[in-house]
Amino acid sequence: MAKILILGAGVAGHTAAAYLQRGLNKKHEITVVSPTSTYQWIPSNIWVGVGRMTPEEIKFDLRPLYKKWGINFVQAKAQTFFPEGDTEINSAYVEVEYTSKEEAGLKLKLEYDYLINATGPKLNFEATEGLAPGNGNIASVCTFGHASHAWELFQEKLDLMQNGQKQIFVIGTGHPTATCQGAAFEYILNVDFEIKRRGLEKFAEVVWITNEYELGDFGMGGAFIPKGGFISNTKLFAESYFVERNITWIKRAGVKKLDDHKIYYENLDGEYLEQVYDFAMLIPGFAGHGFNAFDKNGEDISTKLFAPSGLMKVDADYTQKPFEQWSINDWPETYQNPSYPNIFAPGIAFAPPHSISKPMSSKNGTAIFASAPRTGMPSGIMGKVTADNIIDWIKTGNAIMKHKASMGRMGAACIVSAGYGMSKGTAATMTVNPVVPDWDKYPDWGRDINTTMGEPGLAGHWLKWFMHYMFLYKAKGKPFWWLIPE
Amino acid sequence: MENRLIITKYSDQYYPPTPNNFTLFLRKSVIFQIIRFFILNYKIMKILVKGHS
Ligand SMILES: Cc1cc2nc3c(=O)[nH]c(=O)nc-3n(C[C@H](O)[C@H](O)[C@H](O)COP(=O)(O)OP(=O)(O)OC[C@H]3O[C@@H](n4cnc5c(N)ncnc54)[C@H](O)[C@@H]3O)c2cc1C
Repeated sequence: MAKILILGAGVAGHTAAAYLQRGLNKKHEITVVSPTSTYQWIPSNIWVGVGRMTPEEIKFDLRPLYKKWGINFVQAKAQTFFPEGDTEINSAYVEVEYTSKEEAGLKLKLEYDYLINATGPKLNFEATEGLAPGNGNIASVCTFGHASHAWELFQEKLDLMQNGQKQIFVIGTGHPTATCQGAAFEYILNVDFEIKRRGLEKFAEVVWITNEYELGDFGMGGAFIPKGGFISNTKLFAESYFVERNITWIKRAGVKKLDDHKIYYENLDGEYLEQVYDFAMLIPGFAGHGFNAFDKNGEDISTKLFAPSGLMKVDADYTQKPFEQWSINDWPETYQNPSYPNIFAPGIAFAPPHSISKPMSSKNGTAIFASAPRTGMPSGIMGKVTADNIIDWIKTGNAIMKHKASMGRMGAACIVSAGYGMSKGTAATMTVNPVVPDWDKYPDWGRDINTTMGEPGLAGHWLKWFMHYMFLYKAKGKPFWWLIPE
Repeated sequence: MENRLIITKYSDQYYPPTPNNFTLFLRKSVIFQIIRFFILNYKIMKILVKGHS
């Protein structure tokens, strides 16, 4: 009997759990640890943040499903890793702390043969002074709770505009090296859409603030896309979207601090500037959760397991090299920790070898650029590949690692919602293939130009809406869920 | 439209392409978008299936 411990029940962790229970005999023990018992379809937070969906529509309770699947669920947060056990316990384990009301604070040692760390990002609001959602006029859409508060705040601002009071909405990135620009991009377009739908645009100024060197970088160095007889790029695509909607932008900006009405930022020219706002939704920096690890004798081995960012080290090439020498081969394929091969870190939990966009610094030495994104589709694929490799390992007794999914070889699709509605809605369907540009294979454009695209239109909204229900259907383990791709 | 161009002259906002009426029509045309819906689904599936082994 093998013991598989999964930390995190997000896109990567839940996908891995689903495939493991399907592929393994019931005699094996699968345990999922997560601080909340709900699964949330994060991309739809955007619609919660503008009042088009309720949190109930985007989440569900995992416990009945895990019971049906024979998976143990522990409502707790992982804290300390003991990959060799300790002087008393001979087996590898993770110490977790319960988070449910009844058992809050109690600790438990969970032993494992295989460990999947799919704890995603720590939303590092503390890294930017004043950024925490709930602080005055600041919102976030990173969780359904945040998004629901964002909608409340947005409604207050809509009321003020209805009374003829002008409001400035500033949306974008809230840390000099933040990622997830795509989510902020969707939110600004939806906020703008909702303002215009109510005919309030003359009372609104909508501003995009970003650490991207150019708009449309999205943390993946931008992308070339075929458009109107040209090979165009996502810079023009994003700018065109904003110009069409009269949204202005501030780029190359590293947000350092917020107070109730002002955002303080430094730009790549080294200038310290301010932007006034009445409503701000800025994506925080992402970090690891600050886990510690110890060996059998109690020696701290955290640096063996985790990179300085706190994210987990995997089979990536972490050698420091200049941007010009970066290659797709730097990117991991199996998400296996090099020191402890029975530990895996799919999704946002793994430490990328470097960013995808070129690192830039201001004259004052502040790093201002977009970190590498890891969107839902790659995170789901990584979760599945991890499950498939563990299943093979358990069944054959050998760590063959046949299943691979590198961001330098896989594509990703992201549907950028720009307004909700079955006849008036719109979204841009964006695909990049591969996610990390491969300049050896595609010397002209870095990616396969036939499958990299950005297309705005009503069909995009249908796709996004359809995916919302399809992915929740899959996550709920409804009949034939496994036929639905990640 | 004219207003925007006068206001934004020589700034970043002045230069990006803006969709013309025909492009805007196609983005909203139900028949055209139904066709695109299936094509986009097909394209996404294609990259998804090839993405991992
Ligand atoms: C607003 C928003 C919109 C987005 N829109 C899109 C989109 O349209 N398309 C797209 O592809 N991607 C989108 N993304 C990105 C996508 O949500 C992420 O790529 C994906 O959620 C990453 O999956 P993950 O499993 O690595 O992390 P998560 O989904 O964040 O899951 C992490 C899990 O770990 C748990 N956890 C945290 N700490 C601990 C701990 N100490 N112990 C145990 N468990 C822990 C969490 O509770 C959670 O269950 C969006 C992201 C945001 C924020």
